[in-house]
Amino acid sequence: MEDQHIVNMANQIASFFEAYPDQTEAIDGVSGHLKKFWSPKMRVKLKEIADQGDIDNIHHLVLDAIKLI
Amino acid sequence: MDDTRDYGTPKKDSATMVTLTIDGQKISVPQGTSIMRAASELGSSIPKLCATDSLEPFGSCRLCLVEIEGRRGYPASCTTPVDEGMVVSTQTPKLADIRKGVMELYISDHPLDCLTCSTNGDCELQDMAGAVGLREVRYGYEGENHLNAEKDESNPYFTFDPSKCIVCSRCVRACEETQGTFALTIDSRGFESKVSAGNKNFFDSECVSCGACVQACPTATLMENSVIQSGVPEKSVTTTCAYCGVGCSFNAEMKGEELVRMTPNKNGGANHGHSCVKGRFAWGYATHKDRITTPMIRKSIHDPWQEVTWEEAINYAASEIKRIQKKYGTDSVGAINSSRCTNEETFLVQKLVRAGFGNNNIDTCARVCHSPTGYGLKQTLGESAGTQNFDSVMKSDVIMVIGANPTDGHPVFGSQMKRRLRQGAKLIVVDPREIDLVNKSPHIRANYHLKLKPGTNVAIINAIAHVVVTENLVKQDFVDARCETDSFKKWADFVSLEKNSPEALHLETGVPAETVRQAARLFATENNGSIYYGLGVTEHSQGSTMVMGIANLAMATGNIGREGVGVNPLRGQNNVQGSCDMGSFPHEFPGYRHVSDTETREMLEKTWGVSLQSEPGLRIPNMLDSAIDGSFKGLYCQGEDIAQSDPNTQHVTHALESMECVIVQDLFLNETAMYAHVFLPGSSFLEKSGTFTNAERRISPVRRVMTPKNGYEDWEVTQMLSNALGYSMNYNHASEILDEIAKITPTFTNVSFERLDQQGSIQWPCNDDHPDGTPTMHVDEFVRGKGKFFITEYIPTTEKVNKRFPLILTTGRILSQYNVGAQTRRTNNSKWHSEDLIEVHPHDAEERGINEGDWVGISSRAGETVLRCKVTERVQPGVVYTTFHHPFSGANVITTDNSDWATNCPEFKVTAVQLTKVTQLSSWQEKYKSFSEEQISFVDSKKEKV
Repeated sequence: MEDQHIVNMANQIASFFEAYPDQTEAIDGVSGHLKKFWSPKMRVKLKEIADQGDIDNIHHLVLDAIKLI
Repeated sequence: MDDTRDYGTPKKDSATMVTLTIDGQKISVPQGTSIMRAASELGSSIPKLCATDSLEPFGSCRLCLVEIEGRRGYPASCTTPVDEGMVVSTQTPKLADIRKGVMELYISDHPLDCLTCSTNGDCELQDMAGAVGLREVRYGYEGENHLNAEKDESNPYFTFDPSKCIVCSRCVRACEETQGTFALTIDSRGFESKVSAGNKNFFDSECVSCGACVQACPTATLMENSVIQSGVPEKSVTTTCAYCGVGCSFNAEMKGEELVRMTPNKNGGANHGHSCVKGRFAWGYATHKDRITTPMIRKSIHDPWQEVTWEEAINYAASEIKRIQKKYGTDSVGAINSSRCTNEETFLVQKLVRAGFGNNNIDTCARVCHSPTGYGLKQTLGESAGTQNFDSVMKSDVIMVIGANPTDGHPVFGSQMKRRLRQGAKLIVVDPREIDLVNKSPHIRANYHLKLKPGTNVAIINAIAHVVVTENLVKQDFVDARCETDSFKKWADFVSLEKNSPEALHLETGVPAETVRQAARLFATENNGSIYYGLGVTEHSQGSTMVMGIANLAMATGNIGREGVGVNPLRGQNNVQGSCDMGSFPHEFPGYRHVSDTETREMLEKTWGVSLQSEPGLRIPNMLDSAIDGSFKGLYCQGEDIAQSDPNTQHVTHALESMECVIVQDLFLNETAMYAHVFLPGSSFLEKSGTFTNAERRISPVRRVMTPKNGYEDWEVTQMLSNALGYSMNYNHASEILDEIAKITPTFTNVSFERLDQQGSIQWPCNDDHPDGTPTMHVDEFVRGKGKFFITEYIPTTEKVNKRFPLILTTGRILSQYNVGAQTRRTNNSKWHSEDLIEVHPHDAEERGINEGDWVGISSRAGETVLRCKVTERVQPGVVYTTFHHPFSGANVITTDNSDWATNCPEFKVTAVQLTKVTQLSSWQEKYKSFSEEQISFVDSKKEKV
């Protein structure tokens, strides 16, 4: 699966939860969604992309959520 | 449940009972009941011709006359309501004399060809002649008559023979009352009176071939061609239609193993005796010559197929799955099941994957249609299902239809909705296109049509919610009692923001702010407001957000938990609800329980005797992406055709080509099978036992009426594959699979074949708390306890128009065809829709020099195809529309792999495109043509050798 595609999907999830006024709730929403619906391999891939440091294209909620998955 | 009596007039509901005496017997019936019906309930049959209990009484045939003590004359029992203390005689010498005279007149202008008539033995006119004791016709046939009236054989499914018509108007009334099309009328007066389809033949008329007129006809005037050809059926078996999510109950009428006709079951809970052109007539695909009934294998998709025995095919498929898993790992294979298959079949495929393959890589075609419904309704209400039964619409005061086209996509329910609208319910349509309900259905006109730009659903629902909240139209007592206070407050604060006002969103949605305000007020202030929606809601990048937005609106206006209201997803295929219920998503076990739920997983591990994965598997798009990156190598695809139905066709076919073993189980060599290595022949819905669950959670029986042409029911094939893989399955009948489903799924606890035989159908949940099923959900509390509101920020799709792609393409379906067309294209339904067309607004057409019928190239960021053009104002400027029923059209060559944020449901409804007038096919179509011809030759050459 292409890196950009993985990032786009994660960013889409973050965009939904971004509207929540409580940021903790938003981060939990993103991490909860990733854990509940993404296969482990996809989550690992997302973490690897973030770990590589190329985070400009990654939504800040995703970066925070990754720490919880 | 199998009460097939015709009571003559419809049942009346009234709390007031009226007692009368008929032929010396007392009976109490609801006020408003006709004498005819009351007599029928006593077991006596008053002769009748123009009356039938699916239609309001008409009183024209003068055969049902009765005598009433204290009243003059001989009133028609069909049009005379019962009265307290009334004393009625239905059989007297005088009545017998009148009836015989009436019948004599009818027969004097009717062919005396009973012995060779197609309806001989099944004719109400014949029965009535016998009932009144008619022995002679004194008038002769020398006078003017209709015996040589010309037949109309234009419709491929039925014949209209006016020489046999008694002008009882049952067909006309059925077209009006039952179907709501008003295509038929009685032309002229007196002796010249005749049934007319608007002075056209039936095929060219407004007739939609629903069969209601044929069903209502008491003579052989309107008769199925299949009966004319084969004769009257000898037996009837009740089963369930295999087309759309309405799930109509039908009687399969048989002669031995030959299906002669399908007639709608008047006791069917979903359809009450009505049907559409697909279920009623388009079943010929089941015996079509294209069906493949012998298993085939091949090493490469570029090789001809090799016919093999079932044992060889199953062993080869199993050995390939084992080889791939050994080489690439447990998670390198998966399966896709289909909403066209039964609950038992989809259950077994997911069990095979979880227990046999050892992973959770199971997905279903609901991924590409209603997966956002499952997600959105689970989050807000607590259950992944619609809240009502279809009959609920008859108590709606205002109906909001969003992104659905019921008269085409769900025609039998569409007819019921139209009936309610003709009774006076208000209508709000939210759709980019002018569907028939807006202003093309007789006696119906939408109060408001919010003709929004594709992709702006969430903006519209937020704008409606803004009006409801800021104008104090919230049903606060309902919200306080039934919903989470905190989530409601957050949502109310959010939708109240100025950015969500109709005025602020007007430019985005294209809908005038005042129209949105008026529609919102109407919805919020009527007593019962219901919402019906379809794929125009779900197939968007914000599909799940929109489903939650709909649930928010229903809760805020107090429209949940009783008849006449609710959130009602109109499911595309017959068993979308069922396949989802059965655990066909990679993150859920049967009954929507997450794979990480330890208690459920341990229960299943104990029941199935294996350990199960606790992490979600791959969704269809994830499987395809993984195939291209080399980690997903084997697919078992039952009854699904992803190469035609899924977006970005070239991406799908690339993925299929990248796999080492694709196993397809289907009736036909479908588009996906052209990329397969193992073909396992499927069985049709007529050849198997099982159950389907429709859009109202109604579990209905599917009954085997003929021997499978391939030798096995589909669940048996899955079982063979499982056993060959080493995971033992030993079911002897589909009922045993349903028993297992009931055992492990709390919402199905009391469901069984035996129960369905007794009750006809059951709406889940059906368990000790709801022993007779659940027509309306969330009555006293939501399944999740308190209803939860979600903030639904509008986020425009990334699929945007620009100079290169200035138009938005949106897709839908048409009445006569069904989904990818594999079934309906192999029937006479193609006479109505032989190709997919691109609908273009006159302004856009003129700007591009395109005329009606021109070939038009449609290019998007994903690909290009060519279709013929239909110029129409149904679509708005800037929007074009097509259907996807023919593979050669390549509608999904141009759709992109954009998808819903929560579920990856593809964004079929929004694709930026450009149109140009062309004179030749697209390069994809040229390639497709030669590839499919080669693939078909690989099968045909095999058949020739046999």
